[in-house]
Amino acid sequence: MERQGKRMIETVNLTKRFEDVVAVDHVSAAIKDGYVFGLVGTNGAGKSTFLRMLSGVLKPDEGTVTIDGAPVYENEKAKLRFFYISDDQHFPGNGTPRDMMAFYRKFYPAFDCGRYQKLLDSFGLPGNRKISTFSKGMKKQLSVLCGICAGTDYLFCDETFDGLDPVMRQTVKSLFANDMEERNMTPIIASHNLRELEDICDHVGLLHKGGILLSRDLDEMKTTIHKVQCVLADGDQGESLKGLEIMKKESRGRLLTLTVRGEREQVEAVMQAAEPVFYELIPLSLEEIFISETEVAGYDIKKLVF
Amino acid sequence: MILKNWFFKGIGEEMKRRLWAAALSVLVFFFSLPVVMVYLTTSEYTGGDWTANFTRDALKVLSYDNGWMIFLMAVLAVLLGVSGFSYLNSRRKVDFYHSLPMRREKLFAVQYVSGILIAAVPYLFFAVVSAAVAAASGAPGGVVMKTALEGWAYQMLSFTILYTTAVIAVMMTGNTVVALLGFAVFNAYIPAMLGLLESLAETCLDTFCDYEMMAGWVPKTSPFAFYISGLTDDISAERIFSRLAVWAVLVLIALFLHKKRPSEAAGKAMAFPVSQPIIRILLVVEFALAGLLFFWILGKGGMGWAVFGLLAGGVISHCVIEIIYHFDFKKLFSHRLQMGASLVLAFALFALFRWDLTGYDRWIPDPDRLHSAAVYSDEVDGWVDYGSFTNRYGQDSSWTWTGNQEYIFENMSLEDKNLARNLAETWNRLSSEDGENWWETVYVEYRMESGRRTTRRYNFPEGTLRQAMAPVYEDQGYKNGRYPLLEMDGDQLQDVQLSIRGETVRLGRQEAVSRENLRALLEAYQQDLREMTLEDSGQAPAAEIRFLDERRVKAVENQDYRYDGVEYYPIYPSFFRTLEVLGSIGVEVDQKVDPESIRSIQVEAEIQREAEGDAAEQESWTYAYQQYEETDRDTIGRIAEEMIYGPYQRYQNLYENEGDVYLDVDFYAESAAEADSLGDGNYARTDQGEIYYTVRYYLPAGDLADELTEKAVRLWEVQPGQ
Repeated sequence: MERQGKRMIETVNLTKRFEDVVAVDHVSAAIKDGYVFGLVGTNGAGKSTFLRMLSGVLKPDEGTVTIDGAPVYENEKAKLRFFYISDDQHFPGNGTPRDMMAFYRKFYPAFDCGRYQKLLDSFGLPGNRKISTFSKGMKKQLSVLCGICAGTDYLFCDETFDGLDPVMRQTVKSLFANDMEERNMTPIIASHNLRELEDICDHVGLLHKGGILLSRDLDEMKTTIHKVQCVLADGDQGESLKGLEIMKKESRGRLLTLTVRGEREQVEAVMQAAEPVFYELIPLSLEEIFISETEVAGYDIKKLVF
Repeated sequence: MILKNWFFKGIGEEMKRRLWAAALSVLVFFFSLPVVMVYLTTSEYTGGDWTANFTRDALKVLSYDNGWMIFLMAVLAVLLGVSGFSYLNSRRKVDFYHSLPMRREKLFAVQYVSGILIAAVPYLFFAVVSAAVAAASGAPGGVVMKTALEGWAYQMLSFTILYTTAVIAVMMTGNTVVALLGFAVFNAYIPAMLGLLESLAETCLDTFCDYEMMAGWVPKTSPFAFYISGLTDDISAERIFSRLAVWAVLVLIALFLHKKRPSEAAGKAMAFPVSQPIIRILLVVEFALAGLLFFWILGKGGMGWAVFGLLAGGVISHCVIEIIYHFDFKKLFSHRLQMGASLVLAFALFALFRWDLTGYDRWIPDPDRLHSAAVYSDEVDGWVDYGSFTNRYGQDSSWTWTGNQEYIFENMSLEDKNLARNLAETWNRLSSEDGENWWETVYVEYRMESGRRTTRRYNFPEGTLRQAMAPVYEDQGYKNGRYPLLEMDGDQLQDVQLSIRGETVRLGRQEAVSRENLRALLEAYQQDLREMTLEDSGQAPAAEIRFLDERRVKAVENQDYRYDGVEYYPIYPSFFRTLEVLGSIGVEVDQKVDPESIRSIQVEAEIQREAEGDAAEQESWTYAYQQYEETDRDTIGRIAEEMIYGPYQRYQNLYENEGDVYLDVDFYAESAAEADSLGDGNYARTDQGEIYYTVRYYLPAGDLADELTEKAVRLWEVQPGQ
């Protein structure tokens, strides 16, 4: 995957209020081109509102949303660079998938009609059937196909994987991966389910009560946080592990499970020096990384996301 | 959409979205125009030329004032306006459209124009087809096509007013039902408020009579009234430009609101939170005032009922609006402070009228600010006819009436404007006890130096009006504005009709009176009219006279007057110049009825008798008319000396008919034709071969009238109920 690392979408102090409720509260974030940005949070955390502001549907009460420095709201050029798939996508005029193709190609000049047809076939979606007769999952698939074929730089997905079966979810993920590889598309995916994003996101932002609680690069987190299982030598009460930055420690009999921060080499060096009876470094799931990170921040993430 | 032809591509997509509306439009116009036109071609007409009758009906169908089309276009305007933008009320749809790379102004333009095209294109197509059908059936092609295109263009222009209002209603709300309510509020709020204020003014203020002013504001304050008002009269450049201007303003408002409307308004009652209190307070004030007025009148002016009505109307409307605003019944008592303020405001409005806090009734214009004035009373010279032989399209037609007040206030300007102020001062000096007598009304229009016109109504008790009006009556400004005849020039005069007790003669044509003498007669009459006093005009006239210019001669010959007696003027006994000229040309107006020509007289006298009822009731009287047939020749002779031709009573200003006796006089006729002519089409023939006709007369109160009344009473006592 080619990664340019260039900042493309940027929000600064983005705020939106609905009467007394602050849906998005001074959120500043930078979404790099070529990365998959995951936006997680419970229902009502502000994910949809954030995405609706990114896509120019809502006008921020405060702050700015820019794509390459150009504001998004009421800016046709900026809006041509993304496609927004809402959590309940609308299909106008009681049309068919082919009608949608005709519709979108008028708005998105790069819309790939040939690919759209092929994808419709491969997904088993009938091109001439009324969309109103489609199941929820079929509508989700169709909206993803429209989004991918629109040929935009960004794809904003609001709970897009919700309602897709596991096979279809994997297929869609591979489509995303393909477009990221081929044309450097940047998906921004909002979901209430962290596990859904684990194998696709490069960067995850955790929204809670309208604010960003945490925003981390997954690679960075995975290389700097490790889970260590070990059995220390007799008489060693943990003095030998003083060189580790332990975030969490659990013990079952003599078996210790540690979550530690630091480079892998550093951790391994400390463990080898401690001469334990046994030790191994186990990869952390995204869920475990977030649990550890948010617990440090004083939150119980299980209540926030899972 | 960054495409050069974004507009047409957008229209194409929009039409797909609104296919049902387009289909409906095609269907209704198809049945309303070509189907109706083809049906007309199969019509059979009972009289006249078929083509002329068909052309008339075809033009009615194609014309802009076709009632069905007016209704249809109004319904379509609301339907297309609301449905076209109702996507704004759905979050799903708003997310979809507002995330597209297309500016909202462009989106608005596409959707707004699409709505107009859905109505305009089928209408134009079927109007042209209908015109072609009419032309093929014999109607003049150019005329029907012009009418069809003119009707289409003007209807569409009027349509846009209502259509844009409906769009604005959608912009200001976030729910379709609330949008329809909003549309109703836009159209009805101010007219309803004007109606309430007018009712209050009429009930509470003695001098209020400015109904025209109130009614005049309705088309200016209600899009629907504006729409209707433009279609019920002729097309003029002013009307077209006013519609274009209103349309432009409404479109700008709609566009502004569309741009400013937050997307998150979808699903809410009101799109703009700032509008919520304003609209609620305005509505609550109106409903509170309506409730107050209703219960106040129902409770015969009781203040308890007024307060109950105020609270009922105000609180209920406030609660309903709050429920609608929040879509939550539990929120019905939100913003109680604003509700209280609304109720206070409504009561303050009521108080303004109830206790005349502005001093409306007592107001007398400052003489320095008063430019001119006009005075008018139906009790004085109510017989004068105003009208013309021109219809509303400016074409020559049969006699068309103009409202008395409308003509007088347009044409009268008192030479001494202070006479009008004196009337007001006299009225102000009247004690409240005077109000117990019956009223005679005087209307005054004050024209201020600022250009403002104000109308007032002063009710005078019986007898007071004579004193108040006497000086006004002698003002030449009053006379010039009251009698259109004073404008007639001798050169215009063609003939004169003289009517004595219903027998009419054309002095020029039938009596060969010269043009010079006719002119002299006009001048004499005009002079007599100018010098006539109010007292003179209380007398019974000796005859009636009608001066005819060329158009009026034609009207008499073609029966364009349509009604008898129109534009006749009375010749009062004081009109010595007129009588002199008439005498000089050999016309004697002071003719007595020959008693021998009278067969009998049906006497109708008002008699008073004690009302029936139980003893507990207070003494009361009822009045009834008792009739009997007078055949005594001596009495008939005396009656003939004094009786006055019935229709002349209307010329007697401020005449009090108490004690009068009414007479149906049966006159012998030589022939049925004579009886038919003199009896106005009614005559009778007895078994003995007598032919007679009946004419209405009356006897003024006096000894003879009393004598006849007493006889009627005696006969009633002998044979009650006869």
